[in-house]
Amino acid sequence: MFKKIMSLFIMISLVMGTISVFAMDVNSNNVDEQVVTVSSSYDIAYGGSDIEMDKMFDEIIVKIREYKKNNPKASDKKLDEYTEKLLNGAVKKNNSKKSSTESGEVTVAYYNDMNGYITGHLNSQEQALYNSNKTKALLCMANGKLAIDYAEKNYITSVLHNGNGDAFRHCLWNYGMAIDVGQDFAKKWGDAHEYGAVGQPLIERNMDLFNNAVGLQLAKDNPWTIWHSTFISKSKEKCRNGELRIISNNVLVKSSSVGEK
Amino acid sequence: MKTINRCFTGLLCIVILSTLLAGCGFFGKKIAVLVIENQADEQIQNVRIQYTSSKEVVEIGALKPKEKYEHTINNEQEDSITLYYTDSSGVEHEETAVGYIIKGMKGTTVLLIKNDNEGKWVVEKKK
Repeated sequence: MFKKIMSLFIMISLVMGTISVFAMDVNSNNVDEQVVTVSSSYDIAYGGSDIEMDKMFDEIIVKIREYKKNNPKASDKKLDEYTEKLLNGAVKKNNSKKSSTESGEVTVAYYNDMNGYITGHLNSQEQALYNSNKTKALLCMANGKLAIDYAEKNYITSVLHNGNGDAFRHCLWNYGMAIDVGQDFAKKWGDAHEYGAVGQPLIERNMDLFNNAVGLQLAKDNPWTIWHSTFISKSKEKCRNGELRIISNNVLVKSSSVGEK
Repeated sequence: MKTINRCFTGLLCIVILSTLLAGCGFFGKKIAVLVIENQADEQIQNVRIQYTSSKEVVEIGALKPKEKYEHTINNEQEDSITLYYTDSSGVEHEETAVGYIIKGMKGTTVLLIKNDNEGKWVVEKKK
C-alpha cells in the first residue's frame, strides 16, 4: 500500500515538474495571462510582488527620513544601524498609521526580501557603496526613482534615453542626491552608476557625467531647496537653456526644450 | 517503521508542494518582457527591434494579422528599444518601444500595432 502511495506521489511530482518547466517558458504564447497592468511612469507592467516591493522600498525611505528628522544629530553609524534594522524587518510599522500594504501591516518577511530587491538594481560599484553606507545609498536610489518618474511626466518617451528627458533626469537626480546625502556621497554614487555600468557606450557615459555635474552644481548654488517643484523647474531651465548635453548623430550637443510635454 | 513512513510521506509532500509553487511561478525568475502584437487585418513585414546602446538587433520578420511576438528584454544595462516595421503599403515605420530600460527592470510592455479606420498605422501601448 505504502509503495503504491509513494509511486503516485512520484508520478504527480514528475507531472507537476514538467508543468512548471513550461510555466517558466517566457516565450510561450500565453501573453494575456502575463500582462497585469501597465504603469504609465515606467512603460512597464509590474507583477503584484514587484508593486509590493516598490511600496516597501518607499516605506523604508519614509522611515529613514522620519528618523533623520527626529534625530538630526544621529551619526552615519546610528542611521545605518536603523536602516539595517528596517531592512531586516526588526522595526515594525507603527500601527497607528495606515499601512500602504494590502494586508494593513508590514511583515518581517516582506522586509527580508528588500536586500535582494535592492541589489538587483545595482551594478558592482554601486553595490560596494551600498555596503559602505546603506542609508545614503537608499536615499540616492530614492532620488533616482523620483527623477525617473518626473522625467517621464515632463518629457515624451522618445527623448528619455540620450535625449532631453535623459539629460533632465540626470541633472535632477544629482541635484536631489546632493541635497539629500551631501555632495561627496552624491558624486561617488553618480560616478559609481556610470563607471560600474557594463556595456555602456563612452559617449553616453560622458553625457551622463556632464549632466550629473550640472545637477551637483545646482545643489551647491541652491543648498536649501526643499520643494520638488523647485528641483524640477531649475533642472528643466538648465535643459531648456542648452546647459545640459544630449546625443545627436553620435555627438554630444546642447540640450533644448524638444520633447517637453 | 510507521514513524519512518510518516517522515517519508511528509518529505514527499514538501517536495510536491515546492514543485507546485514553482509551477505557479512562486520562485520563478522575474523578467522584463516586450510583447509586439499585430492587431491589423494585414500582415506587416520586416519587423525588428533595436537596442539603442548595445546596438543589438532582433529580427522578427513578418507578423500575420493577430499574431504576437514576445521578447525578453535585456535589463542588464541602461538602454532603450526602437521598433521598426513595414506596413502592407511598403512604408517603414519607426516607434519608441521602450523609452528607458533601467537595470533590473521587470514587467511587461505590450505594443499593439493597429491600422485605424483612416488607414493610419499606429502603435498603442496596452494598459
